Amino acid sequence: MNANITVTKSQSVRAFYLFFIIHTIQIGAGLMGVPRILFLEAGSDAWVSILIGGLYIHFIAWIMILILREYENADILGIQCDLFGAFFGKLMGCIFIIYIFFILLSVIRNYIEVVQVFIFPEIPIWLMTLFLLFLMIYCVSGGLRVVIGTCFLFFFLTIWLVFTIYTPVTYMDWGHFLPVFQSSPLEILKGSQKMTYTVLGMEVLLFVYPYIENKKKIAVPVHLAIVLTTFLILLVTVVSIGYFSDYQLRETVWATLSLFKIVSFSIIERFDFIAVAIWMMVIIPNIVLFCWILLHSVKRMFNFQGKRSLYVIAVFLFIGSILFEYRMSVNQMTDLTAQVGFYLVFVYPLFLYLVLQVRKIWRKRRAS
Amino acid sequence: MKKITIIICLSLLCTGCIPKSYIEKLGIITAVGYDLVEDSKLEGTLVVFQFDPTSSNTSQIITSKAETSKGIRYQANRLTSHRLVSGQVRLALYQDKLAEKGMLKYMDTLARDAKISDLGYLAVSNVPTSELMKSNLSEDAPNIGIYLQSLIEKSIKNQMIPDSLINIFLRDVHDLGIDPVLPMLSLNDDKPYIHGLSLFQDDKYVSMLDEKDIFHLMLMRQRSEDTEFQLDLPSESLKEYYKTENSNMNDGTLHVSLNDLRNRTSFEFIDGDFTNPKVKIKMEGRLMEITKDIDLKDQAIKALEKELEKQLTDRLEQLVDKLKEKNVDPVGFGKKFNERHRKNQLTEEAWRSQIPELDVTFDIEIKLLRHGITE
Repeated sequence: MNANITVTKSQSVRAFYLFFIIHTIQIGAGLMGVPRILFLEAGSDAWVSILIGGLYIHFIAWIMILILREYENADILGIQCDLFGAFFGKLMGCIFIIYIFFILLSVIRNYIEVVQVFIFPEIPIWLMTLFLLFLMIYCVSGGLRVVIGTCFLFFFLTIWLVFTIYTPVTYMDWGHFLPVFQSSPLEILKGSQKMTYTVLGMEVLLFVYPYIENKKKIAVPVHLAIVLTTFLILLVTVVSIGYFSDYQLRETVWATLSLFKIVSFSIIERFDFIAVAIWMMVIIPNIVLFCWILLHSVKRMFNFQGKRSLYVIAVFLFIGSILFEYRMSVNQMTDLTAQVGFYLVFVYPLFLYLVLQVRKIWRKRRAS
Repeated sequence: MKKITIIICLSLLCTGCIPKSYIEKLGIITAVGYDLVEDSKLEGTLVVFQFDPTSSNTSQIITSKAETSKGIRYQANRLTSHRLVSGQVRLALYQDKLAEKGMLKYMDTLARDAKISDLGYLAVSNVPTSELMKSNLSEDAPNIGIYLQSLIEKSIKNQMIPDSLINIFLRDVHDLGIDPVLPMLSLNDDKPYIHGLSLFQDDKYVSMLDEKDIFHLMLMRQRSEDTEFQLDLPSESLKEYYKTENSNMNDGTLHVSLNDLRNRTSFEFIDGDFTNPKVKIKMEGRLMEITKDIDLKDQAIKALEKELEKQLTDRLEQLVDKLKEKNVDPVGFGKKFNERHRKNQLTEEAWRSQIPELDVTFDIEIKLLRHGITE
C-alpha cells in the first residue's frame, strides 16, 4: 500500500473546514452525560480535570500534525504500513476499523437510548436505527465534501443551544465548588482521562489530512476547534455541578439533557423535548464522519470499491444496534470503546511519533 | 432521484409507527395532591385538563387510592375516559401528615420520570389536599391546579417565599448542611392561600414557620433584591425627633414599612468553630411608611436605622431559637461552614447534633437611602 494518496483538486477542501470537522466529531453523545462521569471521578473539582484534559488534547493534536507533516500526503493507514511493514500496518488498520465501528455503534445506540427515555418510550430500537442509518447512507454516499458540508451546516443549526443554558445558570449554587481542590491530584487526572470519551473523534484528522488543500494552515482551525470543545464541556460541567446536588448528579445519567428540563419559553413549555430532538443534529455529523472514516479505511486497506461496502457497514450497524437490548450492555460497550479509544487516540500517536523520530535518526546515521 | 423518492416514501411510512397522542383524548394532569389515609395508604387527587370540544367544563378532579404515586395514576385511569398524562404536572401538593413521613419516597417518580418537568413546584398543605383541590374559588385561572401554581410562582418572583421548585428542594435535601423549606398552603373561607413556611428535617416535615418569619429566614438564606417588609418599634423610641409633642398621631407603637430592599448576607465562623457563626447582613432600602410624625433629618434617619437594626437583630435571634428548638437548619449554617473550611469538615451527624448548640451573633447594617417625596 502506498503511504501517500493522490487527491484531485475537486476532492479536496480548505483547511478552514477542519474546524467544523474536528469540533462536530468531538461533540456528540458523550457530551450528554459527561458532567456525571467527571463528577464521579473528580468531584466538584471536575473543572480542573477538564482544563488539564483540554491542554493534553492540544498537545496530542500538535503531535498528530507533526506526524502528518513528515509525509507529503499520507493518512494514518499509509503511515502505519510505511513504518511497521505491510502486515503490522494492516493489523493496526484493522484495530482502527473495529474501534471506529464500535464508537459509531455506541453513538447511535446511546442516542436511541436517550430518545427512548425522554420522548418515545414505545419506539422500537430497529426503527430509530433505520432512520439514522438512512440519513447516514444518504449523506456518506455523497462523498467527503458532502460529509463536511453536513458538519458545517449542523454546527450552525445546533450551536445556539448553548445560549439556552442561561436558565439553569440562574439557579446555580456556587457554594458547591467550595472549598476547591478537595479531590486528590490522582482523582483529578482520572477525571481528565474520563473526559477523553467525549472528545474522541480527533483521530479524524489523521484520516482526512490528505484531502486538505492548504496543508500549512491546518494548525489554527484544529486548535480552535479543540478550544471550543473544551469550553463547551467546561460549561455544561460547571453548570451541572452548581445546579444539581452531589447526590443528584451521581444519579442523573444525562445531566446535560436534564439541564434543559428547566428551560421554558412561552410557546414551548417543555424545551427538553425539543432539545433531545435537536440533539439528533449534533449526532448526525458524528455518525457521518465516523462512517466516512470507516468507508475510507476499508477502501484503502482492502480495495473494496463503491457503495456496496457502505451498505455492508450499515447492515452490520443495524444488527449490532438491535443486539444491545439493555442499557447495561450499551454502557459496557461504551466504556470499553472509550478505553480502547483512549490508548488509540491519546497514547498511540506519541508512540508513532517516537518511532518516526528514531527512524529519522537511524537513516541519517546510515547515510553519513 | 428514484432512490431518494423511495427513501422519502419509506420514512413517511415509518412515522406511522410512532404512537400518537390526540389532545382531545388526553387528560393533562396539572396538579397532584397526596394525602395519607388509613395510616399507610396514599390518596391522590389529580386536577386534570381536558380539551373536549363538546363539553364546556374543561377540568375535572379525580381522586383515587393506591400505594405509590404511579399507582394512583393507574387507578385514576379507570375513572375517566381520557388518557392521563403527566407531562404538564406543575404542582405536587403533600398533606403535612404525609410529609412528616418523609417526602423522598413519595417523590421518586417526580425525579425519575423524564416526562415530568423540573419546572413543577412542591408545597405542603395543613388541610387534606383533596379539600384544597376541591375549592372552587380559583379567581380567573382555568382550574385550581393552575391557580395554586401561579399563586406560588408569583410569591417566589416577588421574593415573598423561597424558591420551591422540585429541583431546588431535592438539592437542599441532598446537600449536606442545609434543610429545605416549602410553602405551606391552607384554606381560608374555602379559598387557598399561603399560610406560612414548612420546615423540614432532611425530607421530613417538622414544623411550620409563621408568615412573619419568612422574610427573616430569607434574609439569612439568600441574597435578594426588591423585597419589602414591616417592623414595629416600641413607642418610646425616636421620641426626641417628633415634630409636635402632643399630637394624637404619636400614640401607640411605631410602624415602619420599608421597600425596595436589597440585602447582602455573609457568614463568618469565629475561630473556625461551627457553633459560633457570625452573620453579617447589609441592607439598603427605602422608607415607605412611618406611622408617626417624625422630622426626618440626618440624625433622625440615623437613629431610625439604629432602632431598626436593634429590632431586626432581636427578631432574627428569636427565629434562630425557634430553629434550634426544632433542630432544623434551613439557613444552611452547616453548608456555609463546609464551604469555608477545608479541615474538620462536618459530617451529617455532627452537623445535626450541633444545631441546638448554635450561638449566632448578628451584625446588621441598614441604610435608608431614600424616604419618598416628602421630607
